[in-house]
Amino acid sequence: MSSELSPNARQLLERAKAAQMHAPKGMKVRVKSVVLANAAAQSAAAQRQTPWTNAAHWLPKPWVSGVLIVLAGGLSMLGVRSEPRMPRAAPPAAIAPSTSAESAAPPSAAETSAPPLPPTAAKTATPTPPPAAPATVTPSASPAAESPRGRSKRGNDLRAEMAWLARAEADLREGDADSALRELRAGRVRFAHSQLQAERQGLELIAQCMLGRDVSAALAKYIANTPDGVLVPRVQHECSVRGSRTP
Amino acid sequence: MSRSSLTSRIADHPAAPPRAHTFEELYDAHFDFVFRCLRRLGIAAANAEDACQEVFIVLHRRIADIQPHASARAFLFGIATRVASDHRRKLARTATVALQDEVPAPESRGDPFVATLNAQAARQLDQFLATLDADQRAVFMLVELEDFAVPEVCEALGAKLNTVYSRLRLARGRFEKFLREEGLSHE
Repeated sequence: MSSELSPNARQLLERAKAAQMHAPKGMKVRVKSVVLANAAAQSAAAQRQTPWTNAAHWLPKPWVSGVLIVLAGGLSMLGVRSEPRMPRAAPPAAIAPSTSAESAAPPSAAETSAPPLPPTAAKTATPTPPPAAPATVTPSASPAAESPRGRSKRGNDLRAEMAWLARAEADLREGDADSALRELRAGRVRFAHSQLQAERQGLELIAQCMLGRDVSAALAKYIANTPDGVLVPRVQHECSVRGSRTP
Repeated sequence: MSRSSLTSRIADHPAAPPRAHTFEELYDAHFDFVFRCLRRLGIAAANAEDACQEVFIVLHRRIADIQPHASARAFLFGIATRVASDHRRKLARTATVALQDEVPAPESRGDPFVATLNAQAARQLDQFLATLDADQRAVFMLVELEDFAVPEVCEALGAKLNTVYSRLRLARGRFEKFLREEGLSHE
């Protein structure tokens, strides 16, 4: 079914295979560092995201929104016709719990865009909302509300942090544990509130194991604190190979 | 290579031990394979690192989806194909040039004459691959250059056995034609 290649064609293929393309030197290490840092950042982000901060969890389903809009529209029309002077219900009662929840929950982009009631329904029910009501959910009132500049700064910090860990990782790959350790310790101050704390600790332990230091206590603590850490198997392997006692 | 020899290769292909793959193992074993595939799927050298990152980020996320008996190379090739396709779409104006521009550097060890011949053959092969459509290129590349067994190709591409054989036959025919047209055939 699949015709045979001529000897000449096969020879060319063999020659081409002998000159197989290999990734440039250093790329393999760099890519791995970035992939692991990315995985760590994603896992940290996933841990931060509680069901309460997940907008999809508490926003109404589309069909519910539709029904609410229709109902609210009908009610508002009735309300306007029969009781034109009826005092408007102030929304703070509905908004207040969410504000406290937001302050209790870790910051998330979803929080700033997810009010507790469907905005369309609220708007229809109160055609002219009182000016004081929105003030309870102003961005500055909640720690979750972060300016784009703040988000961008945090993104830059994470990138800088990933680059810092990648440098240390590259030093380790080249067998220069001293340099890696220096690099990691130098970054401790700058990234005091590191989002990749577990990765830094893991790399530090690897470097120390490579230098032949006894890190069994720190290792046990590290594994206890981050049992699912992406670097845990590697740290265990490196430290067992280098002779440090692994828990 | 006849069908009988292909089937014997299938029979000889050792079954993978039934255990879960780890990221480290797959990364170390298949990084160069992924790099080569991406380059041959039309990713320019300048973008290869980014594309490799994407492939392995997806692998890291989906490693649990690889069945213990399944071919990890086939799984990786599936990811690489999609990543390459996305990259080509994004960089449609620039991505197709570099494959032919770059010749693999001759190996520093060994006979320099042989290394130059090999590099030349690799360049000619890249020229040929650039003439194939995506389906035939994938099959030819996997069978002839990466020594995939045909069922493994089926797994990687999600194609039927007869389809893969048909694409392979067509690609081989085109390869012979290409060699004749380029004056590389001595028959």
